[in-house]
Amino acid sequence: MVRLTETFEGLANTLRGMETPANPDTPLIDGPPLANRRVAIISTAGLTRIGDRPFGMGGDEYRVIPTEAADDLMVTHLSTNFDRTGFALDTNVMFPLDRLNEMAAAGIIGSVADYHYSVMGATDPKDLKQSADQIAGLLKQDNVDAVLLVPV
Amino acid sequence: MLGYYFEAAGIPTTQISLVREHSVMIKPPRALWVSFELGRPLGIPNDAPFQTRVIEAALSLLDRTDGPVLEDYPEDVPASIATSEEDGWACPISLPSPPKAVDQDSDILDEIEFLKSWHDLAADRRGGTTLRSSRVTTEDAARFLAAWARGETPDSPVEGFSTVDMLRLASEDLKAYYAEAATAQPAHNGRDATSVQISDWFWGETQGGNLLLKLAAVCKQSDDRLIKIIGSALIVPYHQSHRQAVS
Repeated sequence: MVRLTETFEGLANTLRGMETPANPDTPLIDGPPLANRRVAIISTAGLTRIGDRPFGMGGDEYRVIPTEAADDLMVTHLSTNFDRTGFALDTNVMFPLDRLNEMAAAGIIGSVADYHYSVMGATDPKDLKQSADQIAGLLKQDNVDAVLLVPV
Repeated sequence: MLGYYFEAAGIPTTQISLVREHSVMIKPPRALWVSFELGRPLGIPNDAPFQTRVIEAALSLLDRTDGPVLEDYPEDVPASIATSEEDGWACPISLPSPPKAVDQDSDILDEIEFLKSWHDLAADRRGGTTLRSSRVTTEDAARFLAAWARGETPDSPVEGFSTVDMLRLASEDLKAYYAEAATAQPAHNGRDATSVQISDWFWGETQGGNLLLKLAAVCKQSDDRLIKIIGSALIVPYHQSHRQAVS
């Protein structure tokens, strides 16, 4: 179990200092049954396609991960404090696209989005609003009605 | 926080949470807390049924509109995979020599060559490598880092990457090379090495780890603010920061 007290002081302080959104009790967006939903992954691991620009310090942009490029990813997150050997063994432990494809084939979810996205989780979330708004527009074009946010 | 941006745009979200206290504070719209280690949000590499159960649990929260929702996932990674206390995994490869001072490139280059077949085996099994973020070969990444560790200040060899970018990305590539080589090792007593065992091996027993310890120490002394940050926080993981470079 990961507890704040077991992480290093800088990370713990950063997490403790984060603001709670103003209206956390706002009703959430509804949708169809899972078997009819189109699902996209958004990772905060700073994933990029090999050859794409790595994320840098304070990076507030996003990277597109087309479904067909999912075997060709690298982690360019700034932090050195999380395990990368799991990813070296199996991309799905951080970016579970194969699992979503299997779930779509089995009819558990409706379909898998054509495009997925990654941002740099070390960046202050407030600075990611513009990227999030752009990604939201792209997700709507792709008819996505379920986002699975995956941390690292 | 990200979840609220998408919900506000009309897109339902659910998420995996690795630090429960964090989610208690941030109150994401829908979150499934898992007890797994940082870097492994789906729990166990190459265990598709386990990963699928986690995803199904996270997606099932989409039925809820009474957020914020924070559920605890009941399944842990089995202790035999998560911990390293029972037996002493030792990397089966005997490296050419124990770590020594970063006086010459040949020591690190010999070690990289020595590990190459294991690295390539891992890449073949995996269907690709996870490194190359710096866009140079592992050998050239090591040469660049070794020069900096000796107090030289070569510029970035890659157009478009600053020296600061290159120090970080080349360090990550070097770590990834060793991690991939280590993950290709045969299991010991039927158990694969844990992330902690591989990390202890890299930082404690290899010339590559020693090079990065020395590099971090040199960067910490830099007058350049960004290079100082790299040396202080972005090369050596917190849990290995007690180690000193051999010099």
